[in-house]
Amino acid sequence: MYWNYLKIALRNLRKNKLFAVINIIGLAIGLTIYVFVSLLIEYEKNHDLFFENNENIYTIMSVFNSGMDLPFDQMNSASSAYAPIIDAELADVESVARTRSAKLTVNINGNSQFERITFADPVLLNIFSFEYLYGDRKALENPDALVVTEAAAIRLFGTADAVGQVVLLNNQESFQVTAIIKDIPLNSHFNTTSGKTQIFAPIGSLQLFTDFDFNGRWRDIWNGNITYIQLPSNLDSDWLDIQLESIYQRHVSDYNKGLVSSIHAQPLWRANYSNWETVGGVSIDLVFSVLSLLIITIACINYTNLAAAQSLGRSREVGIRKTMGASRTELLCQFLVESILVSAVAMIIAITILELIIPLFNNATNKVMQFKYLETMPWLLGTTLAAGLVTGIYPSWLITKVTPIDALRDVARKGKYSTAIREFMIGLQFSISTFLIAAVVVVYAQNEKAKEDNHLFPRQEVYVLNNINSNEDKDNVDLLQLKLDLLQNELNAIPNVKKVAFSNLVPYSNSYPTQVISTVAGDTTNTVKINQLGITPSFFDVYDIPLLAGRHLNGNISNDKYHYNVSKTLNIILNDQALDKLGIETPEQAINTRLYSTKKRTVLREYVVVGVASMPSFIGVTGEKTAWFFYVDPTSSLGSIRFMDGSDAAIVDDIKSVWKKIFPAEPMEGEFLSGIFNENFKFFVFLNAILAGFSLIALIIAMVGLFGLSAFIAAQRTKEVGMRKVLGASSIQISKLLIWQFSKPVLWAVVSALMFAFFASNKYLQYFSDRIEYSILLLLLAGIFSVVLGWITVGAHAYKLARENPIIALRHE
Amino acid sequence: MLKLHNLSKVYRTEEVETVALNGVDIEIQRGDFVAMMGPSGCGKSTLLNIIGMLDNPTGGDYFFFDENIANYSESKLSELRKKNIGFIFQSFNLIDELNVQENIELALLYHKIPSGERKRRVAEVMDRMGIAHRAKHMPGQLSGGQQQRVAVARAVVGDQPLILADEPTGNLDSAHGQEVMELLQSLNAEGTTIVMVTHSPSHADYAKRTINLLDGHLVTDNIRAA
Ligand SMILES: Nc1ncnc2c1ncn2[C@@H]1O[C@H](COP(=O)(O)OP(=O)(O)O)[C@@H](O)[C@H]1O
Ligand SMILES: [Mg+2]
Repeated sequence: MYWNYLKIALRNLRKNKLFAVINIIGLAIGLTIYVFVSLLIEYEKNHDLFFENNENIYTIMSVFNSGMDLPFDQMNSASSAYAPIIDAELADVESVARTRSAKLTVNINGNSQFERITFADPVLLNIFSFEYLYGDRKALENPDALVVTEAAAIRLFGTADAVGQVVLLNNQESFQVTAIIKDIPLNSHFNTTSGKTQIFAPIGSLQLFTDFDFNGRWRDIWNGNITYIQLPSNLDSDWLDIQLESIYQRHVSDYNKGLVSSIHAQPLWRANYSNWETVGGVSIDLVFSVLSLLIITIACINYTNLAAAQSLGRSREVGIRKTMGASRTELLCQFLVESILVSAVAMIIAITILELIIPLFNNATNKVMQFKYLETMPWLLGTTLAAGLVTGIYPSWLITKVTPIDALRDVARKGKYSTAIREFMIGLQFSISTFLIAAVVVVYAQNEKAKEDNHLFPRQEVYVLNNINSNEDKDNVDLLQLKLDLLQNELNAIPNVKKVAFSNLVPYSNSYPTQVISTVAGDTTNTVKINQLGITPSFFDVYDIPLLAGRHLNGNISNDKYHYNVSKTLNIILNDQALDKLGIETPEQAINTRLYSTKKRTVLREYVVVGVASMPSFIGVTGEKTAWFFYVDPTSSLGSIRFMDGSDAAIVDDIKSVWKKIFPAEPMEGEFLSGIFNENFKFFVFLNAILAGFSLIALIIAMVGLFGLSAFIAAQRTKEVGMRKVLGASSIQISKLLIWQFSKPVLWAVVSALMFAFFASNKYLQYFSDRIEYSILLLLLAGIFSVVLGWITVGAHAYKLARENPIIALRHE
Repeated sequence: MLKLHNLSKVYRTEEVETVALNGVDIEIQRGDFVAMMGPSGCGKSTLLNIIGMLDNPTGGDYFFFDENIANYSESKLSELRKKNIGFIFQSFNLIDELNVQENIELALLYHKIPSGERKRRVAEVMDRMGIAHRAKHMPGQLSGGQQQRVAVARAVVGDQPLILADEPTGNLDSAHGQEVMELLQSLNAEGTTIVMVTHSPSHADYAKRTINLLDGHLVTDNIRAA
């Protein structure tokens, strides 16, 4: 029986080659996208499984208090104070280890460069089953030990056999390599988009370089500051959650509970995934899933529509089979077998395409995604079956519902019962692709505008120096100041350099220290949050920030300069947003206003406003408006060098030679401000590229579908068209007739798609403070584009049909 | 075998109402060979389709083996039809994508008969109809007469007691037409009940009984003396 179904299905596909090809291609593209995205999401969720005992390893998640207004709810990071407590209190826990990473200079035989070093509790090597080329799990027990991966050893020392090599960290502390491990596989959370973990050092030695405290701090929660817990196999995460909750309640102060509202355990396999979530901001997998669902929907509709149109041509067959005693169920089965067959062929094509694409994708993105047939087979079969059923159910229902006599008389063909549904499906398909096109256009235009607008800062003419003074003694402010002055003078002497300034932040960065400010000393209730920006006075010149009122800051006036261990009045400049926040009406009124930073009724510092400057935005790339105050900080670690337009090629060498003169032992690290901008803008560009790719595919499928359907309808109307021509209709009139048939669904589809696109693009535009004003115009353009494209597709058939000799048209039947 | 009582059929479309059958009373016995005649549009096909359970009457009763099936649902009719009735159409109605053998097998496909048994019966019927050498041909490769032989083979392979034929010779030349009539006659001789629509008085002569329809009414019903 099924053999018979299969046979007739194959023969039908062969008979209607054009439709078979269109159906299969559309579905294959849809399935490719769907399977690819599912595999990608699966891949990202299945990291770290090669570690022995990975099912017993957990990390501590911190859930942030919603009042903190952070862009993410929780983070795979925990304060470093938990580990010692867990070690002391939970005897059942096998091991607990922390990691924190720091970028330090690594000096090998006089050559130095920056490296990201992961400082870890020595038991980390017991928790993770790294493979040792040299050395063993005890390698981090010496306080000056380094564990290096094979690739890093070859890069740094020229050989993997590097045990015993000595390096100088921060040009001051010597460390010795004690073990070499094989490179950690790419599908591990140790290797993220922001970098690979290649060098481990014991966490105790971090105290040599930073303010780290071995007993831990409560507020050092950040990406990469992870706490790992290994449990014996008889305990699970529920048990751990209870213990963690109890530790949280007993040990965390109310103040710190204000930051983190709870902690809980998360299995290791999720570590990569949550990393992804925090990096992506908007959860990217959601965007991916939605887009791939839209694509597969279009593909399925495509198939359904064509199959429905086509199946009407088979009503005689249905009539005969019914006459022969076939029940409706049997006929339904037959047609479903056919659609499942098509779906299976499409799936095979999709798998072939994926075999080609995945290696390319892996190369481009540094991933090691694999297509494991055996493991995914049940899912692939299920997907094939589901696609076949979903696409086949409507056409099968349609064709088998006619009574045998009607089917034989072929009245079904002339009936108009399916036009509403057909139009609905064409419309749906069209609206999805129009929606995607509209979204691409708006996102693209807004991105371009955001790039333009950010000419607020002259990013093509600024070079940023990082890590100045990183190895100096932070307490010796006078010495720091001296070095910065020297650097500034030397840089200013370069002919193409206009101005040099130092600051602790540069534009487009994403972090911002905030002060809680009140206008009344000791008042802790009526406060506003204002971001603080430590600068040198020339900062305003470097970044073209105009002064609206008052005076500039001056390093020679004592109250103009910040000194952290002296509690005294500090003169500051506010930006215009800060005035708004404080409720001050004009820049002039702000001058001489006193502001206070306050904690628990004790005044930490008094500020006097001496000037107001206009700086509408500073952080991020979306032009977000934020309130700032500027103060002079002599210990800033970032330099901004403004140079003449067009001299960027040679300027880096000049800056480098100045740097070598003043900091001979340290590597220079710097980049153009435009580079920082592009790096932070990447997410938006990425989003646009993804959208563009998806909408292109959606459009192709929709057009292919429309092409097939209009070919079919045109063929069906051949006789009618022939009659009309005999009666004197012109080619144009006939083309119009056919085009009109498709215009109705296309038009409503475009209108509804544009409405959705309008809401969606408004959502996107909300990321930006300066939005494109002509978004509606763009949406209309996108709509017109897809309507015209649709007309051309249909028109091609209409024209061909209309031009045919009427006799040929009449003979056709 | 079957009895129609005061049977009527009205087609309703949006604009018009057509009375295709109006108070028809007929009784057909097992072993009958009935020829139905009448001008085009008088309701012959409609009557045959109702007898064949492809369509429901609008009024009246239809007793099939003493069971009134006038208002049976499609699935119930489908079951009865499968067991009892074979069809031959004017336009042959073979499936173009299946070859001769597969087309004939179609009549057994929906009857829970094992595949080997099906093959055997199909081969037997093809032998009897003289089309065995055409088994692998597609319908498009056969002449009209050959196609109708295949259709007859398909109608008889299921061994149903009743065969309905709507103008089986309408699309055939006279030689082929005669051939088909002889086939039907020999089937009837073996005990199959046959109801046939025809325009040709000479073909009607093969039947034992002739019914004349006019405008949905039964006008004459002649049983030929044997
Ligand atoms: N599906 C239908 N819808 C409307 N009218 C029909 C339909 N089928 C048949 N008729 C009408 O019923 C009458 C009888 O038709 P039919 O039984 O096919 O006649 P015959 O087979 O005797 O030529 C005709 O007037 C025909 O137009
Ligand atoms: Mg007729």
